[in-house]
Amino acid sequence: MERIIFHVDVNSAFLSWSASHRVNVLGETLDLRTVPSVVAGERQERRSIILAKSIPAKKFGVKTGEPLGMALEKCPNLIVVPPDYELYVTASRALIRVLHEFSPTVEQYSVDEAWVDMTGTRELFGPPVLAAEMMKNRIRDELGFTVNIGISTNKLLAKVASDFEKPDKVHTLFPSEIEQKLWPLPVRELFSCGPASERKLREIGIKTVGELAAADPALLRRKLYKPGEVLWHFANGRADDKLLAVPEANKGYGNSMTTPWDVTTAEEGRQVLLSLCETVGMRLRRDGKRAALAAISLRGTDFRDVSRQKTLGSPTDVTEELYTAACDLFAELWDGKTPLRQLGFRVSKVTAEGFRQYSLIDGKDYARMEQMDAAVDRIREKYGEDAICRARLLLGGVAGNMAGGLSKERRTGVTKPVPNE
Amino acid sequence: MEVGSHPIQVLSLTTADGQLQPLRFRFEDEAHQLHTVKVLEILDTRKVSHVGIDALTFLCRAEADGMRHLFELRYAIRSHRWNLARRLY
Repeated sequence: MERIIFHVDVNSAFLSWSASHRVNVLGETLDLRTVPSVVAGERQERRSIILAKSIPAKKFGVKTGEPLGMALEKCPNLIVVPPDYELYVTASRALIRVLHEFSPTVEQYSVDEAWVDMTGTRELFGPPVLAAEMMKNRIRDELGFTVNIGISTNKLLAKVASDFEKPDKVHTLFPSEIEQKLWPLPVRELFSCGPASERKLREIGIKTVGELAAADPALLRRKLYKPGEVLWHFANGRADDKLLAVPEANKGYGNSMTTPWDVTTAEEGRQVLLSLCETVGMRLRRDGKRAALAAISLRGTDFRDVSRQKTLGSPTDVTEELYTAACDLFAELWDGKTPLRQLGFRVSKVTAEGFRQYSLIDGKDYARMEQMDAAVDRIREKYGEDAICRARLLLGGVAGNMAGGLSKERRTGVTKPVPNE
Repeated sequence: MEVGSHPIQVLSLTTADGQLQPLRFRFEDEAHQLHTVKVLEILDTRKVSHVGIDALTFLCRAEADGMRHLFELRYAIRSHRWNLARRLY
């Protein structure tokens, strides 16, 4: 049976959702989608960036991710609305609920994108293009926002197709259409081709997907290594992409923090690392995982990044043990002079197995440490993250008791479950 | 037709099988005068889910200050709030 994959992508998601909420729920007459408007942080904060833009705002050259101040220079009459993450989660859940009525296999890729496996649904919903029209119209009429749907035989091509003309459209990109629809596009339209790959490809004279598809894979492998070969397969429409209805387990856990001021002493650096270890440790324990490899990364005020990693004696989820490893790495990596603006801590080689190799040498009682971590986690779960903290983090104040990660309101649980909901 | 949503106070009836029926509602106009409206007939009830926010809308014939109007009321299921969504005439 021919595989049929839909890629459903909400048109300017945050903006659409805010606009639809204002019109359909609050009863406002102005639809933000019809005027130049953006979703961005507070208007006062010149630092805030554009999270989403309306199509009229796009015509003024407003770009997602640019500072709000720059956008206002291009379009002084721009309407700026603040983000409402709670609303976006509600809307995202409603979208996925509708998609699940069409197929049991739905892979959510982000808050506003999902793949749906429509293989074998012809008898239920008709041929794919008609089924997609129905799905798109239902979402528009029932939920009050528009989506683009891309149809193909794999995830890769479906995703490219949904990015064709917007909004409120259905597009196909079947393997037979690759030559006509995919090859004239610039390489950056290809999934996983970022600015760095684009630059390297331009150096060897490849600008379009078609040129990439016709290139010699051996040359690409030399220039871009393994990802070069993957890109070459992508350009030819080949991808081995299974739909994952259940999200894949984390391969690693990491958090980083840009400090409020530059870190110039080892003590401050260790405080930040301790705070990061608290966050990473709690995330590991929450998922019932242990990690065998720890790494830190440092960014100096010169914006140069350095990192170093080490294997741990035994896989662990104990904050104290992670912190000891982080301190060792920090002592080896930092020259003690360069002021630091960002510190990161990351673990990988994650396992779900619960045993531990005790060391005869260090003589530490890890069972007790695990009990303490578990007690701290329970207190934080019940009374909030600030209910308990390490005394040494009270001093100095360079980092809070759990640094890194998203602010509370943005931890939405859409792409990952949020505990205690 | 007037649009623009206003929060309203509602006296409603919930039937034994869970159906909701607004009986009277009260709203404050721009001049801050209160108006009590008696619902005469519910012409249509439907469930909507704009942006994923589940709500019930009621199209009601109603009498306000001796005049008959057609109102659309909206009940947001999660927040338990009633709104006057619009007056059709």
